[in-house]
Amino acid sequence: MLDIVKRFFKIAFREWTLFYTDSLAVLLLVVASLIYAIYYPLPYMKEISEKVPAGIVDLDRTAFSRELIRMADATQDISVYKVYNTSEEARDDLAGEKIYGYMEIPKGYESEVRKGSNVTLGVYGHGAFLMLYRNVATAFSTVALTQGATVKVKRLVARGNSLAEAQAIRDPIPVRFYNMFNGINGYGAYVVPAVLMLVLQQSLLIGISILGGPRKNRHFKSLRGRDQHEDAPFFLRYFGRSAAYLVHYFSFITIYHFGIYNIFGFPQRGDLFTLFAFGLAFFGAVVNMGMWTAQFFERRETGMQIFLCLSIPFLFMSGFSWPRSYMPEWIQILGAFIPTTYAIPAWLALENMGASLKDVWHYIIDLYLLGGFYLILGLTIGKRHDFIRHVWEQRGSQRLAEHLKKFHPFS
Amino acid sequence: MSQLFSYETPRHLSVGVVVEDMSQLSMRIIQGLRASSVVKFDTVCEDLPHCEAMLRQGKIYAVLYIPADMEKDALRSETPKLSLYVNAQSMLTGNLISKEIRSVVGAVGAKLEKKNIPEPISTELHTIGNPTSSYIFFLLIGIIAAIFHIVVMSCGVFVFSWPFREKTTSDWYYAANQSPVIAVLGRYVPLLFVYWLEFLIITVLVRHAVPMSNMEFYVIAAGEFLMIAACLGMSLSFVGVSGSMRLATSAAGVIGGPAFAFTGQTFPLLAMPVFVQWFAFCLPLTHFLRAQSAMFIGDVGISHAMDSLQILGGQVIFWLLLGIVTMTHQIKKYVRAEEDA
Repeated sequence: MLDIVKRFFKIAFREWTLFYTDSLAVLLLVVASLIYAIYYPLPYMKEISEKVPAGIVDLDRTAFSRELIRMADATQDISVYKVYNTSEEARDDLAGEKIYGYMEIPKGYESEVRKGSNVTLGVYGHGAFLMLYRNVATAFSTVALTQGATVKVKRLVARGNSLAEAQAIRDPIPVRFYNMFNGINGYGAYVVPAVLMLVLQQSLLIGISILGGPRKNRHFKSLRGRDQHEDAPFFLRYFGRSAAYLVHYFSFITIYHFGIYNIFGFPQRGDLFTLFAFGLAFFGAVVNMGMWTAQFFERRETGMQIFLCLSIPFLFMSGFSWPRSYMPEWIQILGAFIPTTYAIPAWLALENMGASLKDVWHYIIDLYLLGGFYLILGLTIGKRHDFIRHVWEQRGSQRLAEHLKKFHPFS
Repeated sequence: MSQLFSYETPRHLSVGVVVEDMSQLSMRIIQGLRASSVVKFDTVCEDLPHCEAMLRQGKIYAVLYIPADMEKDALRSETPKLSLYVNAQSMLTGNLISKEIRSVVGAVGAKLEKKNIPEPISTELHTIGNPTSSYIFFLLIGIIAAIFHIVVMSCGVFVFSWPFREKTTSDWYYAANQSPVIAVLGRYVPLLFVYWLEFLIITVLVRHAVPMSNMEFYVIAAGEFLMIAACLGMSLSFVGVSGSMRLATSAAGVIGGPAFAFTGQTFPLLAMPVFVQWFAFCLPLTHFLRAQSAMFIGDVGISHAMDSLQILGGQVIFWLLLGIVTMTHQIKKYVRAEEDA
């Protein structure tokens, strides 16, 4: 028994040393998760898009319209890039991405308002930049409503109401809005944590595939001369190597928690113990998925190419930007087999929202179930390959030899 | 991916409610919200911490808090304050819910106050090129281009480095009459046309709902051609410089993988650090998306789209030349090595 335990740890340690001695493994299992974690948040360092350039088409050219322009320029959301004479000029700048939206003040704006009429201002945004359009629409609507509120209160006072009554009549049930868990509504805090989980999953899947998963007798340069554990019994090989990946990836949870979250100032409410408990379920599922998928790749690079191309679909399938319940059923089913589908909301809840393990227990259970599912697949396929190899070694069949050539081409 | 966004806008988003005022007014607000197709009001919490826990569990997206004596305060013109707590970690749903609740509560409030008069100044919102504010036009067409960007780079690396990997460079070289340029173009040109055709078909399929003008189609088709040509040129250069499938695939992954984040489609380029803006400028995807976005504005966008296509054209020339020069060196090196072996 002690021998088995010793051998298990030796296999795990041997696999772990490969992460630092095999050049491709270093790149994928050590460098990639760090580089991406630093490189991906860079565009969002400012977190919020303040002072988005916007334009105003002023067809009225009165003191009242100029006041509106000044108010718009004073908002935090937008800055008035230019005041245009025609909407064609504004559209030209919109197409050139000099502005991301504009407001059109109609001719006779001031006089119509003074007469007591209701005036509608057109706010136009770029349909390809909905996130920025929101800034533009919010800022223009707010300043228009603010200017309108002043006029409205004056009209109500003129009808015999007190100032306090007029203010209450103007907006009888105001709503206060609070952003929970991401106070400044930062874009980086919204998108980066989800991507970090994807990076961990993809780098681990690719890493396992380039090292051959549970394959027997791999022929890596870095293993040359010290490969006495390459023909270990299947279960020892499978679980020993899995343990190396699992433990290694806990270090990234620590680095992300103490390093990346602090460097980029993301909301950090989780504690390390809870995150490790989550990591056990998440990495367990990913490692088993990797140990299974790795057995289908004939070359070390194949996994890289496939999982690289699948990164974007995996990210969106998780429902972090678009609710999963609003995806077609077949995509939801497909997504149910991807660990990040559960890991992304669980990580966000634990680390960004300060949830307890109890709050995210349903995700953790799903991750364990997924891990169990992939474990059965990985063990079945791996054991089958080992069995075929054993039979071939006994009988020397040509057909089996060809099968093995496909299964053990790693060099 | 187009199926993923097929609902265009999410509906029936779960919102929890804490009601401390069991009055007619609060019932009217809840009824108004129950009639809405955007939000789903099926979770009544005992108190705020209960709802907060449900927010953390991902069961609801927001919490509406109706304070005690809301109706009394409203009737006494003391402006009671409803509070909406939104999970800002889910940006899209948060924005949709805030907008809907503001509108429904505003409508109920307007009916409550008989002395109220209409707003003297209102706004009318229009999204040019995307009248329904559909995610298909905002996000999907960008994501599809981003997927092509990475797939073309990654597969380009695979195809160009295959002979090095399989030690068949001599066969390739001699089949091209010992001309590295012909050898490279023999792989580059078919790939270019296959991916371009694929991209065109997908564009037509995805954008069938809103017909494109002929000019828009031509500009987008030209942009797709140039983007694929530039991506293949980049993968050629990665293989040419590294001489290895593994390193070149890694380079394609690092540069192409997160490219969409750097293009300014979801977060403005202007708000990014200058060095990130320069990096974004080097990516073919940035210029293709700019050309595509410019065409949203109609004919006015053509000249701006052409500027982006010119930059893409420049990138094609640069990467192709660099790729051919470096691949010439690598092909000769591998041929020598194979002949020596």
